[in-house]
Amino acid sequence: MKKRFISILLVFLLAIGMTMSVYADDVPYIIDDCDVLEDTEEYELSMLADVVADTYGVQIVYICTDDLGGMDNESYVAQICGNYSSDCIILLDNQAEGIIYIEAFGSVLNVIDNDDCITMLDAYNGPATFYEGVQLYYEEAMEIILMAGYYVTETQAQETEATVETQAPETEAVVETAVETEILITDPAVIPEERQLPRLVDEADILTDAEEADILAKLDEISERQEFDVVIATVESFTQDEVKFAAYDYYDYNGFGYGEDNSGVLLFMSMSNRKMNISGTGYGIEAFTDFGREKIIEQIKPELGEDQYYDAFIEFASLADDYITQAKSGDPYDVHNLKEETDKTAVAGIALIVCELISIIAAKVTTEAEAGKLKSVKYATNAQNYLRQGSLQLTERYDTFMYSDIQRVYNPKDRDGGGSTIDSGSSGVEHSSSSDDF
Amino acid sequence: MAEMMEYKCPYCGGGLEFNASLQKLKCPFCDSEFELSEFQASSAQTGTSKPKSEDHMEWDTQAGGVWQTDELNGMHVYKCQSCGGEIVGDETLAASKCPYCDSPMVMTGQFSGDLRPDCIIPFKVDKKAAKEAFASHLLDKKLLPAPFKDRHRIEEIKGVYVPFWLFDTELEAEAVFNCERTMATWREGDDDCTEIHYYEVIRGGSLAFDRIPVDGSSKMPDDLMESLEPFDFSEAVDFNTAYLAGYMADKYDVDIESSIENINRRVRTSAEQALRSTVEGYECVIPMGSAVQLKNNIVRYALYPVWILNVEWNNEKYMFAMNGQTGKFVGELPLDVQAKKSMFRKRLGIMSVVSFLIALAAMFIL
Repeated sequence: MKKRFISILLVFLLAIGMTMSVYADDVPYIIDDCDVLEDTEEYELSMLADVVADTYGVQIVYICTDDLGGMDNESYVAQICGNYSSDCIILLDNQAEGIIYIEAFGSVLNVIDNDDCITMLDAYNGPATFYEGVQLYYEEAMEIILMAGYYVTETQAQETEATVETQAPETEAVVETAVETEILITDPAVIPEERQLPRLVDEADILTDAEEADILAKLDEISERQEFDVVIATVESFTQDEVKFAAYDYYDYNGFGYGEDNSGVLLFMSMSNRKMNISGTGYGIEAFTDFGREKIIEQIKPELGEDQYYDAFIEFASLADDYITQAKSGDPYDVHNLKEETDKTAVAGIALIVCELISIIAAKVTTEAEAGKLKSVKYATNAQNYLRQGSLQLTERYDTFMYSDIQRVYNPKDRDGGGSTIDSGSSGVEHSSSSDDF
Repeated sequence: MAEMMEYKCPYCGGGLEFNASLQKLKCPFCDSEFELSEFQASSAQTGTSKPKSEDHMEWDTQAGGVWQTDELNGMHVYKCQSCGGEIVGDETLAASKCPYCDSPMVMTGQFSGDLRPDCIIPFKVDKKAAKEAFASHLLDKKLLPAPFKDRHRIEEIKGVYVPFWLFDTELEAEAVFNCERTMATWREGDDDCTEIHYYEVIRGGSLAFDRIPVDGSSKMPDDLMESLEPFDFSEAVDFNTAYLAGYMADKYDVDIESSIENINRRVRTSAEQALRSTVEGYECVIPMGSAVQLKNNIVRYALYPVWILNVEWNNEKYMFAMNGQTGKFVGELPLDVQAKKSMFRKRLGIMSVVSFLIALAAMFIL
């Protein structure tokens, strides 16, 4: 409902804007150096930005460029900021580095926080086209301003500027806050569209160069053939609470994964605490089920335990290839088919042992029964044959409760449901994973 | 396995809770307080309760009658030169062999003294039937050594009246049991939980036993004679020496006092079993103790008919006995160890093949 209201408001403002000048004070609010927007789209968005600035006194700027003139994102935005009023929000899409950067200035800082900035970034990142992305960025910015009750007339805006000028030290403090905001936002929120690292990253240096080359070739071959990233990463340690979150972040922020859903599987190993994790992303969640991942860990763990990393990684790659192929057949490895396979082998062995045991027991029992026929002498233990019929008369009958206790027996049930348990790291991208020590 | 104990308040039955500040068990319902040690001692005492009453298992040892002078005419005592066993019988037994060791016996004189039996169960199964019963007893015994099946040995079977003490009693008995009852089962996480209530159960009552037999002959193995039971006392008649004609009669040489321990054991066990049968509704019943008081007890002296056969094989003697009234045949037969090993191997081979084929078929089906 709120979204619909904002959209109607934007359309209304846009209609007003059509009758007004395109640029306010000759400063464009939409700067598209990379031509990601059509001329008409740029025109419409500029008018929208103009109307918002006129109506609310907040200038919402969008810049898409691949040339920062040798400056970093922060300096560039700070320089651009000088062209606008002190109350502005600037979103910079740095095409050269694939980084999206957002910063707020002036009294706007009083009404927006880090979460709001992330919301605007997500809005811009979400849609398939730049035009829609910029529209949603404006929509979210408008909503945040409206929700905060921020409504500034032109006069009020001038008064605010005057106030800012007279309170320069405070403004400085606010700007620092804005810088901190940028630090928090840029790292986690920016997920590269392209893979940043090779599919084998041996930061812990546990492989020889020849081994690395061999494994990487195998991973690349499987990944390209299956169109599914099979990745192995070794690190010395991690800072996250759990190895799975470290693995998620490693996968997400290094741009791994095929297709729109970043499909892939990562074997992540931390050598200092000897922890490992296998996580699936995108189609990997379906292809590598909880049970399936545990079976892979079962298979490679003995080799990892003996520091046979090359063998373990080659086996992991082969298993991953097999799992992907199986999943594409429409029946991913899971409890129903993996367990059955395990069970059949076990049943065959057990059946033979049981057969022999049954035979021994049966032969022993029947032979002893034959031997028992020779014995017919035993002491009488009671006098039941001589108990006078009906002579038992009860005269005392007490059942006294003494105490109770609750006995607990640990008995974990088999997990028969199958499937994958979904989880996510700091980026919010969904994964499923299994961890273990090695 | 983790356990959570619950103690009940002796006053109101409410579940007691441990009060950390008082360091005592406290009833949340009636506010009664108990020292922990005191309650644990009380609880332990309750859990090991014994019957209130004590045993009283004395017997009146008067049994048997006195022989009339003319009754003993023609009754002689024969003594075995090998085992020393003494047998009473008429002149027809002069050429007989000892029923216990199969050695020749000599007549040592006129029978006299001792107690006169109160009653006797006459032989109902004759010698021919006894021999047939023994022959059929050997049938279908695959592990019996072949030489043992030689029929000529059966000819040596002898009819003997064996002395028995018969014990009649009425009694009062009390028994204490510790019992468990499962009240509820449920699952908590990965734990299977079971709530069990523990009870002390007491049963008391009166019951009576009639004519429990204990053999009075030291030559007769107790287990062999007890295996011949039961005898049907309804067919017993007053003793008359005429019933001994053509049979041997063993003299008692184990007195009543010597039999009391055995009879008390059997009486107590049966009394406990009878009371146990009235304890219902528990998954586990553990007998904790019992007390038995005998009253109105009587002991009788009787002769019961037994066919006896002694066989020597591989330098070992085997005694067999048949209830001369019911035809029940008992006795330990020798085991052919080689035949047993051979049988085990053959059966193991056959069963291994059969079970393997079944398992193989099952694998294919699955």
